[in-house]
Amino acid sequence: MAFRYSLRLSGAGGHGLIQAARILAEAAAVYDDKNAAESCSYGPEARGSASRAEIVVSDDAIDYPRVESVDFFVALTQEAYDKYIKELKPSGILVADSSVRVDSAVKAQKVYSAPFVEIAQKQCSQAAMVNIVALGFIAAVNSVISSDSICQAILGRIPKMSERIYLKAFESGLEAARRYGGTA
Amino acid sequence: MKDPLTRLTERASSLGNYNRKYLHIISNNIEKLTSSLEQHGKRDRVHLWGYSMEIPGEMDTVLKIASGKKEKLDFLGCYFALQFLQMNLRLVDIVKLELATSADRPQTGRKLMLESGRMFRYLTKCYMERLLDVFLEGKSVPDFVMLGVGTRADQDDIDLGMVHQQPGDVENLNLAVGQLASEMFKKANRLHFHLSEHVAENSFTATIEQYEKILDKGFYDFVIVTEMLGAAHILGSYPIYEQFLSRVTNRFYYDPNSKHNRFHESYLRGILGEINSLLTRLKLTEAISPKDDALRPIKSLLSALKLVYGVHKVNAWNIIDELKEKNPERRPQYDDLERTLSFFELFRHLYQIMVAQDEEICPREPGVKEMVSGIAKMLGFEKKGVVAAEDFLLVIYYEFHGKSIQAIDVLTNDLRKHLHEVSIFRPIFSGDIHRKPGFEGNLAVDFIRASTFVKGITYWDDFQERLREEDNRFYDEFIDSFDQLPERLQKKVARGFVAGTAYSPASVLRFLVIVGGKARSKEAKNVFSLLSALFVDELKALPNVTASLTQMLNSYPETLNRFLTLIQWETLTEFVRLAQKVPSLPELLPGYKQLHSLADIHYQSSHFFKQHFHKVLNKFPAFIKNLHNNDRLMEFTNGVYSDLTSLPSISERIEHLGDYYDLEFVRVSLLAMAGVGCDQTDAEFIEFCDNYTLSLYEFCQHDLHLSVGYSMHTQDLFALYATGGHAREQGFDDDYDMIVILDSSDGEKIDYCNKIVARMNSHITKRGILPHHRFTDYFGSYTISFDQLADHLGRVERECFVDQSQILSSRMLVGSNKLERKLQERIIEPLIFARAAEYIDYMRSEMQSRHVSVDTEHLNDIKECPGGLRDIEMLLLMYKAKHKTRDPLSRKFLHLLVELEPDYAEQFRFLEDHLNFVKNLRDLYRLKVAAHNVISKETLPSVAESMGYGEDDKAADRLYDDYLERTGLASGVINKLVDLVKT
Repeated sequence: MAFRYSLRLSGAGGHGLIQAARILAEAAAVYDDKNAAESCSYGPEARGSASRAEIVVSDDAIDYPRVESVDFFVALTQEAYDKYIKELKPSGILVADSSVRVDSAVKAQKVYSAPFVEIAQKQCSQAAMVNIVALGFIAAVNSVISSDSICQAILGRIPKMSERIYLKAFESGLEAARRYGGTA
Repeated sequence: MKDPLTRLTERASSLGNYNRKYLHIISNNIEKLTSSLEQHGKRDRVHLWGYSMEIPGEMDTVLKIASGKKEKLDFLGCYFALQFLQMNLRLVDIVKLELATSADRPQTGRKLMLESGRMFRYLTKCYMERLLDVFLEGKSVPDFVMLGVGTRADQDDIDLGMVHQQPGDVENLNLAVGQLASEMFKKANRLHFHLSEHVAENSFTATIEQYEKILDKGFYDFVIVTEMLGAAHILGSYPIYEQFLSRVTNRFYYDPNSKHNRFHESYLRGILGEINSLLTRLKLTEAISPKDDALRPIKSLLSALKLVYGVHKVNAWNIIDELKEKNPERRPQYDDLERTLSFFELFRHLYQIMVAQDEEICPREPGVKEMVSGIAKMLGFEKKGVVAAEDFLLVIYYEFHGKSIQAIDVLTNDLRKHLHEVSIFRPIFSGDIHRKPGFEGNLAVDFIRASTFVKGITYWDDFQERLREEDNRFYDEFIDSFDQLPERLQKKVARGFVAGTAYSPASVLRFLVIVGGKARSKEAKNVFSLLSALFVDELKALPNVTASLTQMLNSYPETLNRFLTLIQWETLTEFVRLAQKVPSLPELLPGYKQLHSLADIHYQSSHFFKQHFHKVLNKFPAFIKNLHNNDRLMEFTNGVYSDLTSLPSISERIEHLGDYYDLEFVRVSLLAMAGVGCDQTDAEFIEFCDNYTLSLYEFCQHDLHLSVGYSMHTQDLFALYATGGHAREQGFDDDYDMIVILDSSDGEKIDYCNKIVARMNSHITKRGILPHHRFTDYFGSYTISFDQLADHLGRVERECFVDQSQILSSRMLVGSNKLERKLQERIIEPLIFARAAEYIDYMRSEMQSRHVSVDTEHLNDIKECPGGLRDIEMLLLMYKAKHKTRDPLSRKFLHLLVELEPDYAEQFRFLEDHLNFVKNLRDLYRLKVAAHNVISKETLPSVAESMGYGEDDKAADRLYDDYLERTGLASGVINKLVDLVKT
């Protein structure tokens, strides 16, 4: 049976989740040679600030990229967590910002909590880098998309000469995973 | 010699990082592809390292030599990647060459962008056609057409729409398109199928009937229609494309012969709202966005104009060309749009292929700055002296931007007029239908029914204009129609009126402010209350509510402020909750702070404060944006004050002086509410108050001079003293105690000075402050003479101590040292200081008699309670009489008493601290709750928060208990000091 893995990134507008989803999908498809598709909410209500982006990774063709139940869920805000947590599979992984109050009754194989927003602000001096910090963390704790590929895909999406700043943010995410329970 | 891949890699390093992906694909497959071509003797038939003019044939060759599906995909992907990179490198070379030899940058930009788009579409079309063949593997599929619906030259993603025609196996087609999307994502570009996804369920493609169905039912918005209207044939059946045009998109074109143009109208209303919201969006301070700054508004406008003038082109430049012919009157505007479009598109495109696929460009950011500089040079800008090439580029950028905005204004105005002419609402707005005898309709319902033909309509300016009309006929009819509905239906219809919030909250906000602002009757107030509560509910559902609210504040500060003034307490509470959501992006933080300050003021301030606040905001809306920035506000108010003398007329000077007072009142109040101590706020308050009074006296004197035609010499004869709170240097009083002395018995002079004071009174009253003139009751004149004062205070009556206190506490604002000396020598020394023992006794007994009643209300009276402000004031007056000083009754006098009464220094220090506490409490209570002296525990939470007691449920209790304890202790100290005071 074909392997199919779905990831959902959710948060507030400005967290750069669409870009993060594109990076993950590209990492899986281009550099890990899997099949991948990404989608996010469109239409005027989401102009410039989708609060949700999804990626499906598979070793077979993805006939339709819509996500119904999630294997890997990243929530950067309480609102996003409250809205989407119910679609996380019991066997899934939850990664939440430390500001999110995770319900103790939540069913997940593994729950991680790390201060992504704070790390982006303090260590990277840019709150907008929260997506790259989160990608570093995801790279460390997911078992489907390789860390190297995520790093390659990040480099492919950023302006030249800004590599150092982005790699630092990515490293901060990896470090956060080591510190907050992941295995980077 | 370097191998071709190394050379290509080196050349591609001049392009943006996203080209790494293509190099990755090439390096993974090139060896195999080359050797396979050589094996088949076809190496010379395929351009691997140069740009090909025979892409379809070469792609076919690549497919033929591959064995098996995977190899076909790999070879084809590799060939695509090679051609893609060559295409971009070629474009860069052409740009350099063309712009080096062309004087007309926009014209060259147009030519290059058209060529770039053509090259990209051709390459991707050839690739997609072959990929589909590979994935379909000869399976049966229905006839279909694939349409390009987005920007033609964008390389980041390709927006597509698909239409198919039954019969045929749609599943086979869907599967193949899914695989195509996946393969394109891996090796080329992302494909988006929003259009078909919106129309069909779980399918990349839809039939024309499905498109028709969603249009007929109104399940669409202008975003989807814009895509439909831009649909261009990419591959597949031409007849289906033509049917799509005639059955789906053509209905949006204006038909002068049709009775109804409702599809046309729905789209225009959506797009006009969209243009409006794009033009008023919050501009980033550190970034430019060619797409949002100009390209989106221009393309949205073109998309609407082409429907009005019957232009069926899909490319923006081609649309402009035809519009110039069909609407020659607006040729200058179209020229401006064309030039902006060309410049912005080329700049954006070069940035995207050479730097990053981002829409927002931060030209000052390290790394990006150098790249933008490179693009500027490519575009022909040069460094001149100290001005960098990229700075020249930015100057031109904003020049084009400004011109395009002007052109958009003119053309959208034309669209509005057109809409007015063709609107299906015309009979409703004109009232024609409703005035017909026997009509049984309902305006509110009719309107919602007529407007439900599309989601996301955000342009209702014409409707709002009718509601705003002064005769109120339309407004009243609107309210009546609502009022006549049963409660359930009323709510349903009301939801229809706020449904556009998701698309343009500002548009709904403006509508609500009209409804609420004109609501006088109970019915109108109820309608507004319902609508505003539902609007806030809708706001809650927005994905990025802080950004939306800050944008509203930025674009319509007065409207948002007015809305917050009009809404009911429960709705305001909900709004405040929304405004507390901290945004994640740092650039939104300033807007968030403004929003938070504004919401907080509405939620937690007294009418006493709001009366000044609204006055200020009505006149100076820009003030809203700096509510949390005291330095900026101070610059602003100082500017207003400094500018007074440059105003030509006295009436203008007086008016602006009043503005200065109001602005300063609000500024200092905001400081107090932010938790700044009363020692600072009192000092600042008194400073502006004194400035105000002095200037007002001068202006009123001048005004009188102009009015009566002569002036009188009063300089050494006139003195104006503040008494009461102003004299004690106490801020936030709502009255103004004054004594005016005229050292003359000349009736003409008395009359002249009374007229000055009368003028001052009338202006002071406009500030919401009541002027009180002591002794006026006795003498029937604002001005009193020294003789009158001496006679009055020379009486030996118990009540006299009150008037003595007024004189003793007075502080000169206008007048000479000579007059101050005279007051001291003729009044204060012989009539107060010489009778100090008697005065102190009177004061002591008065204080005791005031404290006979000790009920709860008395204890809660900050001014009159034992240990309250009055006790402190009276104590200080007694000590002032004792020490025979003229110092104002401020904190400074308490400092002085520490020195003058060293045995009781500790007590006076305690009293100074206590004075600060009760003054802070009193000021905050006046600003946040009400201008009352009697405090109520239930209303204390916001005051407690400002005073640093926290935000928890018990904070108010803690403050109240503290207040009781402190005043109790202070009462003991004051009683002791009162007992001890002896002359």
